[in-house]
Amino acid sequence: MAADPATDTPRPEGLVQRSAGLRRYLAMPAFLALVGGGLYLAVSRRQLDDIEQRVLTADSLSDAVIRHLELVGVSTLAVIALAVPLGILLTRPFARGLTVPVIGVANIGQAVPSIGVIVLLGLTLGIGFRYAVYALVLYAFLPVLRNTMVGLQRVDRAVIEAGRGMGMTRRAVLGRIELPLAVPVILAGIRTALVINVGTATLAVFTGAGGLGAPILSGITLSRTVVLLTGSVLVALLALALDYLAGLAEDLLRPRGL
Amino acid sequence: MTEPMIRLDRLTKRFPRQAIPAVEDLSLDVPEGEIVILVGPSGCGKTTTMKMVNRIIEPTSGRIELQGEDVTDANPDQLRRRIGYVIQQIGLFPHLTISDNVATVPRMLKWPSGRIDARVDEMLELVGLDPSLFRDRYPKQLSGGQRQRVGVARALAADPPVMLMDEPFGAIDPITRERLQNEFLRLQEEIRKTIVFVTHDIDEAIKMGDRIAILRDRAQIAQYDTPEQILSSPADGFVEDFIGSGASLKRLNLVRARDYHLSEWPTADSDGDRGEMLADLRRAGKGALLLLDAQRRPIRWLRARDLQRADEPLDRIGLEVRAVVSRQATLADALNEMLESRIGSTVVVDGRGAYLGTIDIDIIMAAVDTMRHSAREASLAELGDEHDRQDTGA
Repeated sequence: MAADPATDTPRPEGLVQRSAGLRRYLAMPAFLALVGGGLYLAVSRRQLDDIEQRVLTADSLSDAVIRHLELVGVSTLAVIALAVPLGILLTRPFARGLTVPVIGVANIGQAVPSIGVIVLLGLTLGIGFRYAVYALVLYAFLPVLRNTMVGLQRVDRAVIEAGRGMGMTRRAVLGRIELPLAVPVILAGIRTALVINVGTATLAVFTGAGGLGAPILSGITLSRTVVLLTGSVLVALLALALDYLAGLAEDLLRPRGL
Repeated sequence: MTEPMIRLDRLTKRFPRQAIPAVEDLSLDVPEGEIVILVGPSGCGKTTTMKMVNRIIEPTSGRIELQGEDVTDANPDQLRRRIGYVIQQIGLFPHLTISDNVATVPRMLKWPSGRIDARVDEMLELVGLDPSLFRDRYPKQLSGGQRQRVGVARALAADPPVMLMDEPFGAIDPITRERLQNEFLRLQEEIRKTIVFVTHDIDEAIKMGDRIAILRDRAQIAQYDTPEQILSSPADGFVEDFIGSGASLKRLNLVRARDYHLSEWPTADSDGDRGEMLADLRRAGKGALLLLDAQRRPIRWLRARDLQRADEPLDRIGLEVRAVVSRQATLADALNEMLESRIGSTVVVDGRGAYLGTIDIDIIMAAVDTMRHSAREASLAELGDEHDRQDTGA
């Protein structure tokens, strides 16, 4: 018997099978509401000084959240648009020799610190929203590329051979067999990229792109713990909320029968 | 002779960076409606040969003809839709339902959807799966044997004249494999496809093949002949070694229960009287009576001492009937069952499981004797031919 190809390739991230159940779908929103409400109560009951009052307004905070979501949204969409097609291309027969080295490089690339990528890009290219998005794309690119390639590579060769043997064209095999079967792994990669981006986007404040990094940075520089905590908790809530939504998408888009 | 369905003409396949070709200068005709087995040791090129027929592997040189048409340079995707393909790993699409799997080729051929639905049901019934139960299931909800049936149904869906089968029963447990083999032979009697079948198992080759090509290195044909001829007059030492010991035991694979006059065994109905049963049993001089249910299906062996225990119902006493085969089963299957039965007889049943008769050791001995005689006569006749030729040559 041929060796299981899955054992030769690195395990894709986030592939934890969870049992479906209503409780599971309700637990996370309840938790988020609890923490969010707690944060609001704690801050609103506190006596805030001038500086704190100026930073912690509803307007400035919602601007920061929206900016943050824009950074994450635009960069993640760009990553999907670039990394998924590249991953498909790199697993086609003509590029088969490249598959393993590229996955290796993708693994190493993940070890580069994100602050380095953002600051380096800010210093060399410029600052502002656009360059922050470039940096986020660069950083979140690898998990999506890698999972796309691993997902396609893990599709059972026998299934592909059966398809080809019945007269399906290469394109039909890719579109109707390989991609649907790789969807769970690709989605797991996208989910990882999304969560990475929420965290990394806080660093975009250093290159003038705003986002939830702003209250955190103010909190540190002005020694206002309330401000720092508010920013950090909002980032964490955002990351958990997006991860939850991505998890829902995974459940909905996973092909039945797997 | 009519035109062969498949003609392989001086096929050679060299893989890149390999000094020795995998297949060298192979010519082979596959007659219409027959199962031709490619068998040989691993690495002999049998699978490569089969995969060149539908050009999953492109030949380095040589021609491939299908129904008299040269398809060596035809569009491979179009070609493959005319050829059923069954592989050992089955390769069902796990994300599609059983009916979508079976409908794969008809959809590519753009059949109208009503015809596809009808065809899917027909195919599932053909391989013994109830469409209403299995149509909407996914492959992972099926057992290995059921998946393999779906694989066969899928390959047959567009009614291709030719089927390629690459060790189709190789990854299935021995009991299920035997049943699938028998079912497939029954199916083949109906569908009469031209089949190229690859296996490394000589017993399977003898059982399944109308013709067997025994291949050695580089897919060189050591012998291409009927199973009977290969068993009785192997072409050379290689073939002899490959058949291995026990050729006469293997010959039992060539004959089926339905070819023999079955023995009658004393039977009893489940609502019969125990006293009469005991009397019947004494008169028959056998060790046990065979108890049949209302549909005449065998249920228990009843010995005299079982019948004397009046306290228990009939279907609870005696021995379970274990050794049961269908009419398609070979005498080898029957012998195998018999050796495991405590009664020393194998019960033969029809398609609905109703009792037909039994096979005992006498039938098997008689069969071996007949085959030995005819084999000896065939070799004597051949020797005689050689003498004649030498005489005329001198």
